[in-house]
Amino acid sequence: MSIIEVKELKKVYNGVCVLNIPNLEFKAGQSLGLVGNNGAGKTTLFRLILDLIKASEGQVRSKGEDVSKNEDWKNFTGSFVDEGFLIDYLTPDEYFQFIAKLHNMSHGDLEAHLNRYEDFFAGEIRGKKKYIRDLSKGNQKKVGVVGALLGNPDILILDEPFANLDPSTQFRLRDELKRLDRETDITMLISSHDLAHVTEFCERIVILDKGEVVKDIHTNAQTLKELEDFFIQKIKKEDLASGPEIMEES
Amino acid sequence: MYLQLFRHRWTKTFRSTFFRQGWAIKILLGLAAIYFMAIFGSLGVFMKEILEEGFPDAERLTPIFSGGILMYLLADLVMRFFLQDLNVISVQHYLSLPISKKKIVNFLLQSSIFNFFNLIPLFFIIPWAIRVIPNEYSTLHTIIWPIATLGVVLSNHFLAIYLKRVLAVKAQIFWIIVLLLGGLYALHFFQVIDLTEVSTALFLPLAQSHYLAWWPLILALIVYQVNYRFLLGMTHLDRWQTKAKEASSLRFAFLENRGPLGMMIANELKLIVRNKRTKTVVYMCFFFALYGLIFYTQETYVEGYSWLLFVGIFTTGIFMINYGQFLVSWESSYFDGILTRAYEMETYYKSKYYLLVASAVVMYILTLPVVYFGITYAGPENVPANELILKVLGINTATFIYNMGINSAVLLFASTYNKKPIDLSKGSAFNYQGTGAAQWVIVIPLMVVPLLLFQAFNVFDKPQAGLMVMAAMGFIGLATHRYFIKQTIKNFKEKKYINAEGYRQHD
Repeated sequence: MSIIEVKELKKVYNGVCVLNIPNLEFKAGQSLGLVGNNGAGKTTLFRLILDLIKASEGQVRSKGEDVSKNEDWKNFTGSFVDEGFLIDYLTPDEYFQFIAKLHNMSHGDLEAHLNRYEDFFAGEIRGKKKYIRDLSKGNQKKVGVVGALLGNPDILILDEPFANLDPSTQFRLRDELKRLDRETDITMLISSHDLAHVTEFCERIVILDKGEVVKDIHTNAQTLKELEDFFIQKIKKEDLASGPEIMEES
Repeated sequence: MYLQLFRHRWTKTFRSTFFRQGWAIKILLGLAAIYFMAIFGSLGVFMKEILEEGFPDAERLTPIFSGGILMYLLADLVMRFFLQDLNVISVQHYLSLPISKKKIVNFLLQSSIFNFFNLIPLFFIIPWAIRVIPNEYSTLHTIIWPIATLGVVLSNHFLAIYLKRVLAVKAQIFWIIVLLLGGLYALHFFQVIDLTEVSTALFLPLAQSHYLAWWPLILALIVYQVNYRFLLGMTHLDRWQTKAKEASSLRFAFLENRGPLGMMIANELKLIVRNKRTKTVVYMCFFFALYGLIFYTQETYVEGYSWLLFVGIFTTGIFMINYGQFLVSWESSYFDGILTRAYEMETYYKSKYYLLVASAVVMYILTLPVVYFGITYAGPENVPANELILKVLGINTATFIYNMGINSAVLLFASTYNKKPIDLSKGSAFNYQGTGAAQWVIVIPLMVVPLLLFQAFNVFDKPQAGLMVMAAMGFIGLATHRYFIKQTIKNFKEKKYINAEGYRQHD
C-alpha cells in the first residue's frame, strides 16, 4: 500500500521548472533514500510533501489526503529539514517538552523516549543550561532528528541527517534508523550526499537529477557501485559537454 | 593591499542590510539624517551669535567655547559607547589570508574613523575656526586650532572604542566607568570642582599657544597605540569568544502545565525575555508608561480630549503596537517548524491574543500611579487636580478596553500580512528589520480610527458618549474574539506559502 503518492507534481520558479515528477509512490514501512547533487530538487520535494511550498501543478497525497487541503498528516509525520524547524531560544529539554505536548505525550512517555537516545546525545544535549541557538550545528541536528521522532510518527522525513555530525554520531544515527526500519513499520524518506550510508539501510533509492527522477532502484549488493557509477558518468558527460579545452586541462 | 581593505569596507557598508531596505524607510531615514545635519550645522554656524547673547559681557568667546568642550566630550563618550558599532568580527576573514596582522589591526583602527560621531564635531569646529579664531587670536591659529581640536575628538574616539573593546572581554569595567563618570559629574554638581574651568584650562591653550596646541594630537597617537597593542594581542579568535549565556531558569512553569495553550504562551514569553530585540521592546514599554507625564502637566494638552485620548491609546497599547505589529514575524526563524508540527492553529492564535490582552491590562495598571501622582504633584496649576484625574482615568479606561477588544484583534489579523524575517539577536535601537509597508498602514486602524470615532461624538459636545461607545466596542470585540481568530486563521492559511517564503530570506 502506498502511504505517500506524488502525482503530476511540478514546481516552477520564475519560469524554470525545478521539479517535475509525474508519478512516485512510497510504500508504507519502506525506507527510501533520496540522492542527487545540489539543486537536484531533493529539498523542494520534501518541502512539497510537507506543504511548505505550493505546488505549481499536481499534488502530494499522504494516506490518501491531499497535504495542502487536509492537515491530518501533521499528526503522523515527523520531519527535520533544517534549523528552521527548531525554536532556537528554548533549551533542548524545553523544546522536547513542547513537541511532546503538541502530540499529547505524557511526561513519562517523553522521558522513556528520550532515554533511548542518551548515547546518541553523547551527554551534550539534555540537562544542560544552553539554548538551542548556542549549540553546535551537529548538536542542533541531533535535537532536530530526535524531535522529529517524538510522537511515534508513521512517516519520517529527514533532509541530510548525516551532514555536520561527527563520525561516531553518524554511525549511531545510521544504526538507529536501521533499527526503526527493522522493528517498526515507519516509512522513512531520507536524503543524503553520503551514498554509503543510504545504501546501508534504505530498501529503495531514488536519484533526482535536475528535478526529475532518473533512477529508482531496489537496494542490493551492487547498488552502491551503481550509484557511484551514475555520478561519475555524470561528471564525464558534463566535461564532454563543456568543450575540449577543459578536457585537455584534466 | 591597504586600499583593497578599505574598498571592502566601502562595499560592506553599501551592501549592508541598511541599504537593502525599502525605499520608504530609506527616504525617511535620509530625511532624518538631513534634519540632524541641518540642526547641527546651523548650531555650529551660529554658535558665535548664541554665545554672544548668552555672555554679552565676554571680551572673547573662545574661552567660553573651550569651557564646554569637556562636557561635550563626556556626553560624546557615553553616546559612542552605546551607539557606535564595533567591527571586531568583520576582520575575522582576513586573519587566515596572507596579510600581516599589523596591517589588519591598523586597518581596523583607521577605518573606524569614518564615523557619524566624528562628523558632528566638524559642524562646530570649522565655522568657529573661520568666524571667531582669526578675530580673537592669531591667523595662524585658524589652522592650528581646528587640527588640535580634531586631535581631541580623535582621542575621544579611540578612547571610546578602546573602552568598548576592553569591555567585551571584561564586563565588570562597565561599572567602573559608570562610577567614574558619575563621580566626576557629582563633583561638578556639588561644586567641588568646576568642569567648565578645567575644560577652559585644558582647551584654551589650543587657540593661544604654539606648543601646547599639539598635546591633543600626541594624546590621540598614544591612545591609538594603546588600542593597537591591545588589538594585536587579541587577534586570536578564541580571545573574543564570549561565553554563551547560561539558559534562563525562568520557565513560566505555571503556564507550561496548562496544556498546549499555556505552553504556547510560555514559549512566547520566553521568546520575549530571552532575546535582545524583544527585551528592548519591553524596556520601551516601561519608559512609555511615563509618556503621559508630558501631556498631563501642560494646560494646553489637558483642556480638550484629543491629546489625552491619543495618550490613552498609546500608553495602554504600547506593547501591542510595538510587539504586536510583528507577531509571527518574531517567529520567522522557525516558521517552517510551525507549519509542519501539529500546531493547533486556534490555540496558536489564541495564545497571542491572550498575550496582547494581558499586556494591555499590565500597561493600564502601570499608568494608574503615573496619572494619579503625575497630576497631583505636577499637574497644571489652573486645573483642579481631582477633576483632571477622573477625566484622564475615564479616557484611559475607555482606550484600554478598546485596545483589548478591537486593536488586539486588528493586530492579530494584520499579522498574517507580515512576511519579513526578524533576527531576534539584534538590538532594536535603529533596527528596522522586519518593517514593511504593513507597519505604516497599521497605524490607521490602531490610532486614527478610534480618534475619528471619538471625534464623531466630541464635535457634538458629547465626549462621554464617545468614550462609552469606544468601551462598548471594546467589550463587543472581547466577546466575539473567537470570530476574529477564525478569520485570522483563514487568512493565515491563504498567505502561509508567501509568508514562509519571505521568512526564509534570512541575511
